[in-house]
Amino acid sequence: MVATTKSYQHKLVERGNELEFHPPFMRVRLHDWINGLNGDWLISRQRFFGVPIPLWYPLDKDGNPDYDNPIAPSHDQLPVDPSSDVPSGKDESMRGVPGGFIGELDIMDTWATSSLTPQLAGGWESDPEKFAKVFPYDLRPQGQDIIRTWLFSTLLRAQLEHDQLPWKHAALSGWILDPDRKKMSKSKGNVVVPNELLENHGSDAVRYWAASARLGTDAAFDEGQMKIGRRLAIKLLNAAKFSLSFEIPTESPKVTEPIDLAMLAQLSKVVEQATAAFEKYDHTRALELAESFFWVFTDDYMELVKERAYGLGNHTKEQTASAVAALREALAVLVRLFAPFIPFAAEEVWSWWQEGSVHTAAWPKASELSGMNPELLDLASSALILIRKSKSDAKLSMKAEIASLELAGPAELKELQGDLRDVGKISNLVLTEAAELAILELSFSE
Amino acid sequence: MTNHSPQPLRAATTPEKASVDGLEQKWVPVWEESNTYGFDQSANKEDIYSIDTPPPTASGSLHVGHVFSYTHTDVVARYKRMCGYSVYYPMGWDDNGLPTERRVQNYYGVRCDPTLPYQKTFTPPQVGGDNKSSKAADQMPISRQNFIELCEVLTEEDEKTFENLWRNLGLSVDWSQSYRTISSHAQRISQLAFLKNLERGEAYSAQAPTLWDVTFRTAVAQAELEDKEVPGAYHRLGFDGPEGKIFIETTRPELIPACVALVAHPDDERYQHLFGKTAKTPLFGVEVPIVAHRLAQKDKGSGIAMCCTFGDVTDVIWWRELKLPNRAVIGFDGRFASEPPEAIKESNNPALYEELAGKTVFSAKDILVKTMQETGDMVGDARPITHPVKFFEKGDKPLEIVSTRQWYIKNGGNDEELSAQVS
Repeated sequence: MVATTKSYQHKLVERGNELEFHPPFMRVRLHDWINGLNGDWLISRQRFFGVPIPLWYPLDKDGNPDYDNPIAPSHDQLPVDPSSDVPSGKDESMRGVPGGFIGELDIMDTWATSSLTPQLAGGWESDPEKFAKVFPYDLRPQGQDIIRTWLFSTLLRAQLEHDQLPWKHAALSGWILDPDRKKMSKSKGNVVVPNELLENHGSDAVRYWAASARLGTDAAFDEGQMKIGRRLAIKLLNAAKFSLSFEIPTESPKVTEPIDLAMLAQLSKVVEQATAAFEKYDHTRALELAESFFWVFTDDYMELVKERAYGLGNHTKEQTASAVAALREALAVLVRLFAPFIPFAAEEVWSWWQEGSVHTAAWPKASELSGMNPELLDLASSALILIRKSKSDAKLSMKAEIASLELAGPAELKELQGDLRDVGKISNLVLTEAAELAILELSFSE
Repeated sequence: MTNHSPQPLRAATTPEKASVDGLEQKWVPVWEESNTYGFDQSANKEDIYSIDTPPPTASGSLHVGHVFSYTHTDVVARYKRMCGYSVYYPMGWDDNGLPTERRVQNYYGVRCDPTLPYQKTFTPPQVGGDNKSSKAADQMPISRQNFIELCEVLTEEDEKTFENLWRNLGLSVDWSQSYRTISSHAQRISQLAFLKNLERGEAYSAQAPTLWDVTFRTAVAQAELEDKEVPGAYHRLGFDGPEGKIFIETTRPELIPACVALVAHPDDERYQHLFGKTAKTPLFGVEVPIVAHRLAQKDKGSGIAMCCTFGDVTDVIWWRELKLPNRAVIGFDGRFASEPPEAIKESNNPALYEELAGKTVFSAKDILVKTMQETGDMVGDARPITHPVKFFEKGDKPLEIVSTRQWYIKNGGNDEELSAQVS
């Protein structure tokens, strides 16, 4: 007997193994629960507000209910309330009298309804066509605290009704802790009202904070993180405004300059990695990748190519066109990478120059971007750090002009010569080939 | 669904000054009007990505934890949509159950009495209580249907507030695909699934010991339990054994009248010679068997324990597995029943039980401990401890175990037949 009981539990454990948990360590909580079950699921509740158990009981000639032979309604009679509806073939006058019937007063546990959300939302027994399309579901997102209730009971009902898993993936979110690392809850009185948060920081900012936490990981309630999110959204608007502000100088501009190609090549890698992260339900990684690229893009790349994009200095039309096109191509990808996280700023930017909604635009593909030699962007960033540092060490503004500068470094530096000259405001930039990047000689203009 | 790709070189119109403020008010209505997040059911099954969204409880206030976890899901939904999937992202409202029930009681000053008839033109005695608990005596009793109608009105208001927040947060839900656990559709689905369980023999009713919350006066499922550390005390009580006193230690001396056996571990050498014999309970002198069971703890107290119907979950297991009689004394209100068990009626002290009838567990304990101290059935003082006790997660009194008729769905935790069917 013990062995057969175990075998049904084993079946449910097997279903648990088929389900992909994110993060995977959450699976053990389901298994521990199934293995620890010591009784069947009690679903009747002696409360009033809820779904009534749809049964009546016949009364014998002494007026005693026969609980072993309940009277059930037909399926097309549902829903019924047995305390006001009567079984078919009987009438109200027979309620409570010997030889008549009584209605069940108990209602069902709310989990007996919640355990049917896939059926309820998916049109089971009401819209079969839809149910066939959406069930089994791809994703069950939920809190880690209701694995033994909601997750298990849904899995059980689907097993009993359909003999299959109700979903392919389960994504478990962690807790929110207050800054003292205590769980936030109504009973502890440390709850923050979300409306105020959205108003104070903006929805994108609050979403950024939320998305910065991995699944299954507790996160601190951190308004500082929301402020960073807000800055990111503002920065996206400003970077877009900047990138779209240049006139397109030629008929069909092409990205030809090495630094422009390097930037696109890096972005192409970011797209590839962010997509892979999303496929593994690691949205936080996807955000981190997009974000860290974006700061290099705005702080370094945009600064480097600014003069060239404006058509200032000694650049050909084609070189200018290369920068303008690269900025726009990168922007079109970046906005889409950010769209799931900061949908409002992303939609706003998209609307400035694209048709339709960014949220129904195609997720970017690495192959959209034809770049090459991505390392050149790293080299440019390193060179920029040196030039900026030389100015800040001399307590000069970043706009200070440099009369001459001798920069040692890899041969590829010469690909950057024009842009470095522009961004550093260097009249005479001499490059010397060396393994290490270093400033050999520098003199500021008077 | 084919998503469009951008044309980076299109002419752009950028605003004079770009700001993130007000973007919610600007875009939420546009997304709604353009049906940006609408589910396209005509898509092929393999092109559909469906989400079983957690339905929030509308009668509770939204807190930042909701914003946190729902954002995680929305991020996935948006990614999948951009990947070309037709995303099924509905919203549900869990407006069924205790939280709503209590909110409606306090808001309208009513309570549900399912025995009352429905009143067609009903106006509640108040609207908009201060949401503090009101006394049951001040609440107007109304029929279930009237009560549910009020629940529907109030939850609908609550749900509007929630929906606005979700929209402002930017959840890419298809709002035409919403459901409520209180709706008649949800009732139908729940009842239908239950009847199908019943037809297949997966649901059954049984008279059985049930974990019971005396405040809410309802049975509680295993999944709703919470262990809480609470103070208690060990009382050392003497039973008359065949070879002199047998001492047990218990935190529930008030259950002496419900005692049905003494239980020790089968390997416990101290009690080998007593297994199969009987002992007499203190005060009442009811004869109970001395039995062996693997769940008895050799290192706890004297190693031998009294089994009562029912002090805790272990008592239920002993009672069931050792086929012991039922001498339950605690009623649905958490008080001692007015009728004693048969064994007590026939015992040498039925008068003592009369003192306990109608008393709370607390007062009954007081009476019995004092009496046993006087008679010498209790040895020494009570020894205070703290120990884990089972509570209903929403309750503040320890759960009792009472015998009731309840409905169950088989889950493999207690059943052989189902396993036989499935395996």
